[in-house]
Amino acid sequence: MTAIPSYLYYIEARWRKVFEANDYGKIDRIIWYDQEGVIVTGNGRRVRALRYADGLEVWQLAATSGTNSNEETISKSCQVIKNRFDPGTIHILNDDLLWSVSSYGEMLWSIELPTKPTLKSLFLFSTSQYVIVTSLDSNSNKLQVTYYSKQNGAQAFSSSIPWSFNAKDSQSKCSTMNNIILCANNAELSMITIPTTIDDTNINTRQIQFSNPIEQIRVLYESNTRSIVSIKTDNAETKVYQFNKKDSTNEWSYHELNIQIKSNAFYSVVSDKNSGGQQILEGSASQQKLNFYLSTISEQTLTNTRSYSIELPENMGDIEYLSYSNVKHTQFVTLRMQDASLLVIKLADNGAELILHRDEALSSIISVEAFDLSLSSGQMRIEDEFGGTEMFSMFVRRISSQISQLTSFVMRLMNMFTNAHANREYMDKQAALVRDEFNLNKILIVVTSVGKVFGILTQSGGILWKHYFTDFAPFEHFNTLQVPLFHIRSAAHYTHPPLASIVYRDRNSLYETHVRTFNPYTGDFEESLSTSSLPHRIKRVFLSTQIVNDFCKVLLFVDANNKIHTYPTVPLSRALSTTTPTYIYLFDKAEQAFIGYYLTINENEQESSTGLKEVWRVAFQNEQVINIYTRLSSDRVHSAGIVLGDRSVLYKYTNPNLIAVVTEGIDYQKVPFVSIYLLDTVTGSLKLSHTHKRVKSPVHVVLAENWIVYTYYNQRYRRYEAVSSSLFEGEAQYNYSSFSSFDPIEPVIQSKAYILPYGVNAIQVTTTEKGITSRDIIMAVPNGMLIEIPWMLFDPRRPFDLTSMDREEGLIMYTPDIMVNFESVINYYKQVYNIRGIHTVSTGLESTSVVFAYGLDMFFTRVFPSRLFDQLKDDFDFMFIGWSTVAFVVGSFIAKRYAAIHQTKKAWK
Amino acid sequence: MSSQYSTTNTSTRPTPSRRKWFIDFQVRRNDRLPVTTNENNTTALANMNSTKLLVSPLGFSEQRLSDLLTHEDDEHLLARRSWDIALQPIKQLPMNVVLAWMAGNSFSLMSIMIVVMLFMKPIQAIFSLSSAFSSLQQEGLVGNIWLHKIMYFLGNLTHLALALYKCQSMGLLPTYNSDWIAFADQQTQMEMSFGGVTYF
Repeated sequence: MTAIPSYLYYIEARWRKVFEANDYGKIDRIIWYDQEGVIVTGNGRRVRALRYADGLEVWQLAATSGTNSNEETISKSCQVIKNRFDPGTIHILNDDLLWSVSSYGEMLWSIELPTKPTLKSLFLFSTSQYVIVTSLDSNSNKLQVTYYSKQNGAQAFSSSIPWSFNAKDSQSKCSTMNNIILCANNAELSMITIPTTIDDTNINTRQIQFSNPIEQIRVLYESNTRSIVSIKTDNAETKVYQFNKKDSTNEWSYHELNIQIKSNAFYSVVSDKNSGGQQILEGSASQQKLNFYLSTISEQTLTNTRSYSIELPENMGDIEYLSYSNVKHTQFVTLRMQDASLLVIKLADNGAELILHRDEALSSIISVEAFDLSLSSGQMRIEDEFGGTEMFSMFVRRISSQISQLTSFVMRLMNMFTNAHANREYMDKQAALVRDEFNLNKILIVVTSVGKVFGILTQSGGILWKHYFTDFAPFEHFNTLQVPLFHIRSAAHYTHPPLASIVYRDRNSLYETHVRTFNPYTGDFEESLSTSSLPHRIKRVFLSTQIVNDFCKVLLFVDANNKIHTYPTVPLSRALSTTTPTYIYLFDKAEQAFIGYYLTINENEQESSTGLKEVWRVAFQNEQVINIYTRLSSDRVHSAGIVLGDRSVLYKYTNPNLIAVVTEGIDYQKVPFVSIYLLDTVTGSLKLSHTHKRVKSPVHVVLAENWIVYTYYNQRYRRYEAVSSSLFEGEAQYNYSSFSSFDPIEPVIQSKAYILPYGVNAIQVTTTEKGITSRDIIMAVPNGMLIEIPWMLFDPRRPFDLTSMDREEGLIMYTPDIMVNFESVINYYKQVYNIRGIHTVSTGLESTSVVFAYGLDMFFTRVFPSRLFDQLKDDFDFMFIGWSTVAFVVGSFIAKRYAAIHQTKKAWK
Repeated sequence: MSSQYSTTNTSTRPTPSRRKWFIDFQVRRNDRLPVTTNENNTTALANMNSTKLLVSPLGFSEQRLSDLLTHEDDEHLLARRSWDIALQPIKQLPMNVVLAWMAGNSFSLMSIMIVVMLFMKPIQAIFSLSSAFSSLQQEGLVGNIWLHKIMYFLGNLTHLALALYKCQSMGLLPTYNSDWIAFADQQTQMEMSFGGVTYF
């Protein structure tokens, strides 16, 4: 323990500003001024200044460009520089627009650059008089250097130099420093000096040779006379070079600095105001330890080196970003680690001290599962108590369990008296892990895209445990990231702890797949069910239907040769039901086709892998599948039909094998369209197909019971719309006892479209234990609200004119607008932004469903779609009921006595 | 005389009569006493005795008109009374129909009470079928009334039918599929399917 805190830092977020969720909110660069920061977002299209003190947006500018108003052609690259000779001016270059902004929020000038498909703007330089744009002409392989006046943006002149890289390489392998372009050409570093004045036309090119190919060039520090660059080669060796400008000429001299850490290190350089020199901080992570070397850069060497090291509370992987700052003689290091943690470390004479640690990974959740908490020991004993079969053993069990209950009670009392304060926290933690009466509290297991897994308690939002998988890489699922997360063993088996499994790819080799199984309460690994690498490349993974060993389910993998494997290896006949035929569907991205397979399971065979037989194929032409949606696995259908006003039944078409397929395309009239299909994954037949023209994704879909609700953006009317469709079998049911996809049922489809008052970020339906409670749609909207809308408002059977029969049924008359009243905002003023997903879980109470929304923020609450019909209200007056009962009992006794007296008197008369 | 009385009393005792007892103030040599009895041999004997003893007064007719008349009157009365009772439920039916109609098909306290009453009354009446006809016995009317009892029973059944019809029109009878849908079991799945997007 080296660090002794001299005083405590209390760091909390003072303000927060959430930018747009789309491309316009993506930060390109932040330029830090004294009072405010200028933030360039949206690929150089928007510039705004935020004041540090209160987060106020002082000014905002948007690039006005007539040709590029269409959002789809937003350029991918953007260069932002602060003019070195005039720090109050910022030059911004994106593909076809060059503009200058002053730090007071004034747009100085903006010019459109010539757009040609062969011409690509690459680098931006600034001098005291000119703004220099270099662009690559891929026809002639020349780099065009164009000079624009700094005052008004007028083009002064241009020249061109030969260039050997293509556009992509130039962007990835080159970086700029002052007026030099540094390019890595295999094991050679080229330095191309761009002349800064009109008189000077001499383009200077020099090379530095390295023994190994160069991987990365980072400019650590640049001023008008000095620059420091770190160069990392592919044998993980890093060299730091210092460049000095020779006086009066345009020449730069360079030399290597003798650094402490040769490999795997990050560097940050600041200029020391006192001495006028620079300080370099080297940082490296090894396991749970961070090492820092802070040195002063003298002319050639590093002097005055001090070393610091700090033990981290958990494994956070390598350093991803490091920045060193020296504020009023206090030295701070800010780090972003590989697990997306934000660390602020204070370096002092007596050692390094961690003063801030934030798990920023929680804003990148990609998979969520909720686990029930374990039974309390008392509840377990009750389970035990009635476990026996023989009379004598039952008696013995009962007596012993009751004795143990008594002893544990006495022990607890003793514990309470003897060390009440000592392990209070531990006791609280233990108590929080025990299931409550109605199973309302859960443990959420969240997997983030960086590979950090958290166990979160829902009643407090506290993080119970976290673990960072260093070799983690998620799978891709239609341009989003996905990690399969499974309940291997549920909490129902109280003798065995529950288990969860995640399946992910290796960060370095995408062919390797890892399976990790852990206890969701503690995060402890179950080594016997974890493997570092499966022997086959997997196409898809899913969970078995049958419990195999120790109440555990097994994972089923489809490999590249369409063979099914199980992990851990068990015969397939034990993992899957042999009586119900099993079908497997896979979507092939290259073919844009769904392929259905039949899985033959031979009951006698003991093999653990089986081939698949193709039975159907649905291919999409001229449209691209953008997403597929399935029902929630917890979806329950309680009622087989809807009771109509005349008391007949409209039977629901509840096909459990349906999936919703969303496709996007452009038709022959160049009109964009979005199509929704309901595909039966057993037979490959389409049960519903809707096409919407002039409609844009994102399409959000909820598929549950016999209905589907989806939202999209209507380009023609510029509004968000929702379409709701229900599938019915009709007045009679084909087969009341069983459902087969092969039954010749043509579902009757009813649909209605509605106008939504807000855009949609995510959408989900509530889940309850038995499915008796009516459904609500939970919608996350861009302005930070979570809205709970009854499905009844989306009901496709809402009539245009209400008859008495409809009224009998409880239908509401159709109005195209879905009215949202503010009472249905379930997060009140706790706004949550950029929500990407909503997870709903049923509880022990039929009326209650719990909702977990995640994205940039997280939000958890309970909802009651049909109000609290199985629970007393919070304000229920137990005292009043109790006292009035007592009063009535007492009153009746008194009345009885008086009545007896009265009777006697009457008899004497 | 006393013997006569005693004989009449003894003779009348075994069979239930209309009157438990009576005192005849018109003492006419017991000539009319046997009227109360139903036994012909004793009447014949008494007649023989009376004719021997006394000469009939003026205007006295040998025809026993009154005697026959009383007997027929009783049977007629029995029939009338028992039919009255037997047809009573049917007579009440129109009133109940009106009552049921007045109650309406909506659910309210009144209509529910009326429906309950519609059910309770005929069921009670059926269970107290014998007591309904017991008043006839009390009045001393005896006869074969099983047909009337059946009629009474059927009449009450019409009341029950009315009650059922009322329930039906109020929608209280589980006669539709919709009434049984909550008890339907979940459909078993004949096929299983898994899958999704391939990861590569």
